Amino acid sequence: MVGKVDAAKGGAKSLQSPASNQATSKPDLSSMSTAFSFKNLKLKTKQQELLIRVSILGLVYILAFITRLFSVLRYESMIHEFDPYFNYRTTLYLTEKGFYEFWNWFDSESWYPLGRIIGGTLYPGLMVTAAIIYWTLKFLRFAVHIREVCVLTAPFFASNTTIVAYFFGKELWDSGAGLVAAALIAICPGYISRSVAGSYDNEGVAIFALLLTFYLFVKAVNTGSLAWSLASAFGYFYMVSAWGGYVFIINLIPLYVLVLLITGRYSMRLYVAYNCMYIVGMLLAMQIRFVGFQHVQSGEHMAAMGVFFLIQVFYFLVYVKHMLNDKKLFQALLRIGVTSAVGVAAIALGVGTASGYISPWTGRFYSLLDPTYAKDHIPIIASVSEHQPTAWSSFMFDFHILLFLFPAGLYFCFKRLSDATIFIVMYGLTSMYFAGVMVRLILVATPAVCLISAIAVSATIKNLTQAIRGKNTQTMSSKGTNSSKGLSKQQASLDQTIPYLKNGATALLLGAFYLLSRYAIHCTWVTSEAYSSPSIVLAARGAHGQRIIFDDYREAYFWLRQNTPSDAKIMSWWDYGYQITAMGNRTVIVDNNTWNNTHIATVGRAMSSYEDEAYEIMRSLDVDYVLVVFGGVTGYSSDDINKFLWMVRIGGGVFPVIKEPDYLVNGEYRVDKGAAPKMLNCLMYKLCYYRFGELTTEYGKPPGYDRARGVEIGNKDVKLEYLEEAFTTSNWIVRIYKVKPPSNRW
Amino acid sequence: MLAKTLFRTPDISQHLRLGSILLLPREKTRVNMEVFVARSRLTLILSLLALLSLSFRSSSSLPSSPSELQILTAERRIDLASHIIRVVLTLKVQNDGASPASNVLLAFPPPQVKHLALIQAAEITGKKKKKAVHPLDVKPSDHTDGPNGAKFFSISLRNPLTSGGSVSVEVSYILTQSLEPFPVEISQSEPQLVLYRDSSSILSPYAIKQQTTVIRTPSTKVESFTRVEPSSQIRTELKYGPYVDQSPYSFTPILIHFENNNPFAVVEELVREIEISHWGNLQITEHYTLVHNGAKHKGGFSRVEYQSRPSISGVSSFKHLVAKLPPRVHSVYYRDNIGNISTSHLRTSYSKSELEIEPRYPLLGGWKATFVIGYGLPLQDFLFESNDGKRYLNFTFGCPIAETVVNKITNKVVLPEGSKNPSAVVPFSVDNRAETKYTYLDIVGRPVVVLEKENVVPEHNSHFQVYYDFHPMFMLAEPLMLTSVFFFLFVAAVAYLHMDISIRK
Amino acid sequence: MTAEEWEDFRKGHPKAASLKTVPLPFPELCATLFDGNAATGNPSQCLKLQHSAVIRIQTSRTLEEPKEDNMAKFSIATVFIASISLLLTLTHSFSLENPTDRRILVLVDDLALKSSHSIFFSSLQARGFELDFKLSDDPKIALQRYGQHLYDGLILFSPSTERFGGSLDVAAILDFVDSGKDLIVAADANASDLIRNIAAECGIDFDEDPSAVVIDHGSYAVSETEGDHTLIAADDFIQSDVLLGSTKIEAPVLFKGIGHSLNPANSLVLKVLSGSPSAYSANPKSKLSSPPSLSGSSISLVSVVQARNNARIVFSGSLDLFSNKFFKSTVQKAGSSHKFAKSGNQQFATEISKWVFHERGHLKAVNVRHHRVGETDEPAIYRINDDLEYLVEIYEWSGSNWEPYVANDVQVQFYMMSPYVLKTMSNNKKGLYLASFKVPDVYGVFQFKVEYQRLGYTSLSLAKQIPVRPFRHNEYERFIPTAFPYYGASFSTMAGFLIFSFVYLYSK
Repeated sequence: MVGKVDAAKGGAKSLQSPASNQATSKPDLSSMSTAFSFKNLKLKTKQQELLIRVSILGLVYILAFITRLFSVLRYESMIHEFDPYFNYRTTLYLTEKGFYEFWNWFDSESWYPLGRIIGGTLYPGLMVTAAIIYWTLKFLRFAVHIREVCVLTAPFFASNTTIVAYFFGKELWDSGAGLVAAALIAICPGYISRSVAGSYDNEGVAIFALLLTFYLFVKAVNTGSLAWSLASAFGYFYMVSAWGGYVFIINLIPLYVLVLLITGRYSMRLYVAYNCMYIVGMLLAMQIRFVGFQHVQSGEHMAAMGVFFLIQVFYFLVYVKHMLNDKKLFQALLRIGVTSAVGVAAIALGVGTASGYISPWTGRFYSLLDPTYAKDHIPIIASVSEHQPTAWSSFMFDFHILLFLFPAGLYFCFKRLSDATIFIVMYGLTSMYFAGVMVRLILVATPAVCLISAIAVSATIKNLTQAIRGKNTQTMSSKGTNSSKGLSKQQASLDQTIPYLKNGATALLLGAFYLLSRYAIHCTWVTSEAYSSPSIVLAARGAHGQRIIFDDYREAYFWLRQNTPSDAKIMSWWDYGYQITAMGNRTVIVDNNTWNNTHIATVGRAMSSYEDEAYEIMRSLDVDYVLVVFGGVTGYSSDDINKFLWMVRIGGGVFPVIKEPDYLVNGEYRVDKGAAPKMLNCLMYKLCYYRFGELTTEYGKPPGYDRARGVEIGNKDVKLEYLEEAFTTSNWIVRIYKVKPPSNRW
Repeated sequence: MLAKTLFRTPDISQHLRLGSILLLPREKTRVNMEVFVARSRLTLILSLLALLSLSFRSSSSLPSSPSELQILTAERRIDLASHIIRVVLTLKVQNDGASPASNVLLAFPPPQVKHLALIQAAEITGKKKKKAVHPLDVKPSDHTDGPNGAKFFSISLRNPLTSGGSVSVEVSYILTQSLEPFPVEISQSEPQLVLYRDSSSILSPYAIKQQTTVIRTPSTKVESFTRVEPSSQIRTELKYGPYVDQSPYSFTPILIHFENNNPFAVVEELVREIEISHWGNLQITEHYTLVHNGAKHKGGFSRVEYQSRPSISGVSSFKHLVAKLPPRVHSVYYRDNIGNISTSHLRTSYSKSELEIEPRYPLLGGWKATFVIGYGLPLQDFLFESNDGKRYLNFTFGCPIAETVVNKITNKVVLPEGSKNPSAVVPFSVDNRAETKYTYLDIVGRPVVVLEKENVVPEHNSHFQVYYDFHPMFMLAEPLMLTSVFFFLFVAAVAYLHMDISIRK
Repeated sequence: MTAEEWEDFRKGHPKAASLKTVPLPFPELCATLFDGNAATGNPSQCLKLQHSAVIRIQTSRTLEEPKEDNMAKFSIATVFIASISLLLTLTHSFSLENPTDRRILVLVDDLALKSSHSIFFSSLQARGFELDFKLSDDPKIALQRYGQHLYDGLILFSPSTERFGGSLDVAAILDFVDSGKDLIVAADANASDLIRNIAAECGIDFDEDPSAVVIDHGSYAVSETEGDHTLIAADDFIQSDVLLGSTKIEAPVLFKGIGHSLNPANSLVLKVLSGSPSAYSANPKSKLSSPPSLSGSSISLVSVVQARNNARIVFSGSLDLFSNKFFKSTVQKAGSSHKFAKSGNQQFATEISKWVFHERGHLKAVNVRHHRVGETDEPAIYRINDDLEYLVEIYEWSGSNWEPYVANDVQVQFYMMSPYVLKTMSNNKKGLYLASFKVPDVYGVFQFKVEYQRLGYTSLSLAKQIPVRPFRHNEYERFIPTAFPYYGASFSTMAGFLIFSFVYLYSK
């Protein structure tokens, strides 16, 4: 509710302020005073406008924050999902042990027995940010717990993003567009999905950093000042420290520069901005351990370097052109220069790649360019749900009306081409493509979409408002801002053609308001319904409509924490690794940082082979407990049996002894009587369905009826030889088994 | 009669007797061990016991007592229903001596003294109808000549017992952790058997004319109990005695092996933080480390069994606990260090509130669970102003959860910032410490009174007071701070609006 | 008897802790009560049947009532048995400080065996064992009560028993072994399936043919009557001083019984006395139709198992091997002219019993520790390329006290999925073993592993986990010569920039 009202208000106000802009060209305060009762305290118009803008921004800022608190209201102030738990754990470590310990942290609790160098294999931006906030609060004597800080980091940065969006919009178009952009991005579901309170993940701050970098760069290009480009370099540094998505920046900006060069928009401003940003940004980025020399060696970063050299060549050519003002000679020289430059670059790249000095592109990068790549080559990437290609429905879900405003915005941008608009157009188009490739990249596209749609909204509504009070069009056109020229022209043309202009305009205006309010309603609804559930605690509706909470995950993790030896090793599928280490405080074999495919494949192999073979593997890894997630009793569908095909595939990808066809019955996984014999006897099946056959899960169904799959299981008397049931949660969602010591007499 | 005659040389006779009792078996024991070192211990025990009984006989022939007192009738009721052992001892003491006796001694064997949580005594006057109870104070006495390190507690009577006069005293004491699980490890399907040791006859420095001991077991399932005739079992009661003319310090060990499936809920450590805010709220935060102290769980835990056969599977485990909170409690929460625990119910009435909490998982033998309970209370119910202008907090000491033993409790009373010279008044002995705590917007920090005690039982839930001086002016400090901050913020904004800071004119 | 003297008594007998002053008013009464009751009768068993397996069934009070009643009766009945059992239970048993067994249960078919094998038994008693003879179908046999074992060793001299009395069965015996207790099993020509099952569970397969015995026409014991050569003079011993003592057994061992083969799947079982190449297992009465299933030196006459928890088991195909008759009788091996005045049986039986009851060949490893070279306290984590020392003390039980174990083949591994370091430890002759080596240049969670298995000795397997971390950011070498060009470049750039800006600003 709140969200809706504020959004509408924000929208409305943001539409009036530009109008006031126009009107203030003639200083008649009466019109103002009708709108706002500031008669008594005589503010200058500048101040009035500032006041309005600040108050709107303030409201939007607050709105962006509170609309992300649904999850806290619905559940509790807790960390969501999987990766955030790792971030939370590391942040805890950072705040307790200090930065250097964190930087050199060798974590022996994950990836047993290999261990993981945390400091060198993560993007510290998020943790450091949270830690700094925490320390500041502590310094100010606010006795908050670090968890609360982590939970609220994402919403806080979402609010900051709205401010950046405002300035960006102002830079691209005008302050009106900025305000609209701020309002739109504040509640856009595509962004909220990754920044609700508790989703303490890199994206939370990364989007802020991304937008900031782009804004500062565009500013630098527009002004051509070293200061702004330095600032953008630092923005880039923050982005690199926060998220692997910085690769998008370091490829988009060169692309943008290239386009400007090709379209003959090369300017000194561009030269200064790009060089400074690239050099300083690169040097700074190399300070992040995880990036290090990749920045000059890996294939993803080569484009930037190429463009850097190219722009030098350009500068040189321009200089030469200026030296000898002779057309023909210059053409020749240009031809030679360009060809040689390109040739040299190509050779250098070829040699570098061949000599292995320049590493080839990574799998994720490939799968971005070629959506089908992952499915064939890297199952571990394909297995992650958020790496799937996006469905149209989810576009609609995440963007709503922005999806239609986006083309309109593009139209306006093209109508008023400038360096800035070219940038936003390119940003919009490329990110839209990536959003189509991977679901999670909708996030990257969201700011662009919001900005472009904001341009559309603000431009349209401005035109309409001007159409309504048509008479001051002339005066406007006389005032020579390049913004109002085009408008005034069409105004004039409109004036001649359409008779009922004002009424039509009013109608359209109302329509626009209606659309915007629909958008606000949709966003609020999506946020509260879809994007606010922490996948740790599962909520369901009971028979009488009351809310049932399944808290089995934490039950199991806390049991591990309290009742197992402190050096126990837990084997589970990698999804739960981070949660086990963070909440269970126990050593895991594999976790969500999927850096070692072989290790994961070993676990997959153990899960999908017969018990005795699995026992050998588990012995070799010193496994003490095995943890499986099983939804058969509650009908929780994302459990290990449904993930089983990925275990088989990933296991089989490394160990050919695991063959997927052994588990399939004419092409599908089954657990009922018709299941493949190997399926019925593999470890995962046994662990999930151990003594499940004695259980009547649903009235009128035979015992051993699996509610997640909706079938009666095929193998009801599961006997375990090498493991014993150690603990099963109250709703059977998590089952933990103890690995027995080897037989005594054999 | 005999007693009287021999009484003129009490000390010597006593020492003789003690020597005879105590040295004899010990030496013999050694002899036995040397001789039958290779033989079964059974024989040894038998011989030992033979000697023991013999020694008793010899002793009972020797009459004496440390003072002029003797006990006419003694009745002891031992309640083994839960894991907290409550003993009620009713003595009728008579003074045979010439001089009036002002206090009565109670003797305990060392192992019991170790586990003695609480001991109270009261004098009973009158019969059924107009029965009156006058509490007496009990303190450990430095009386050290007890045999074999038996410890003494002395009850000081209201008015000295004149010679020939008699008084009936009711002593009630509580033993914790004196039931040892045997077998030590049980599987999920087994019931929990425990051992209890005591003496069939009451250990006392005085001769006891007639005594009985009644031991209540939780159920009729008694695996075994030592027979010291006359002894009998009537359903859930084991009756020892009546024994007549027991000499001082007579001690006949008995051992009872019975089934006890009540939750052995032991809070290993409880830290309670009681924070006073003079804005009208009292915030209590309690950190628990709970453990099932019964027989250790052996083998796997089967959920099917546990769900389908609650009566025979995991009978000694417990799922939920009930905490009795003060009335008008508000904003109760129940969580642990990985988040909120959703399984708890609060029932409030104007007399009391009950919080029923379930740990995340059922606790079987040896399993642990840690959690935090927090709640707020209206301040005016607990904070008062004493007539000398001091303020004092009046709050309960012990653990609000029913039927739990607390090994170590730490009560931290956080006084508001700026309060001076705090002092605590507790009805029993605790160790007292002072700390300083910093919380929201504190500058000098808040004084904290820390009260620690070990081996706490529900009977310790009596009130204690913390007195301190406080000037209401300090209440305004933080609000003023905040308002000034905002004020300067706005001033800065106005200043920004009215100045023009641009380089190029 | 009060607490203090109790303390004294307890000092003498650590295990008697919970025994504190349990009086036993009427011992003779207990003895009588021992007969004919099922001491383990737990009424809740009968209740199990009444419960159905459907989930969330509410147990009604009606189920509880009968429990109460028969419990009440029952408890009275078992009062004395329980107290007795406590006594037996809680007197000291197998302890780590004194690994040698104390209390041994001997199960026999008939008590005549007690006299016919008296030499063997008396030798045991002379060595301080408490033998408790029972008929194998004695209804009150129990190896444990309330989870406490009543015996440390079990001798099964009851080959023909079909089922034991009391609570004893195959599972109970195996559980006895799996909880670290020792076992001697002797079979003979009419060995029951029960014995065969126990053997099979330990990886020893007696000849399936129930009538088959070991026959050896090559190396039988010469006797005045030319028999069917089932009395064998075996002298093919295992070469191990630990198992059979340091003094060599000169005279061959007389053996009359069935042979067995070792299950190849079982790595823990050893032949101690194996048949000669000419031996085979068949029915001496009938003619040999098909080639015998067992033949030659694959036949094992006596073999031992040492379980992973160091429980020790001896299986003998012949009960007579332990008999006085064989102990005393002279022996002459067929083909050899030398006639021994006394067979090797007594020496063999004694030595093997010494081994099986942990009087010999029992090792213990104590205070395992490790530290960096030059330091003394144990670090929580090592860095790659650290130099460290690993120490462990190993002692051997001599039957009376612990003596330093001296060997030059104890090895320690530094192990992460595979041994990165494998080093033989040097020892000062006082039982302290030491190895010092450099941590490999690999980080991860390593383990110090000592896996010491020697023939006859208890197997030591120690594992201690220790993580190994890479260098910290400030532990790398600084100012290496190869980096000088970079330093030069950076500093020259700074200088150049300075100069350039000067020139640019002030050259007009």
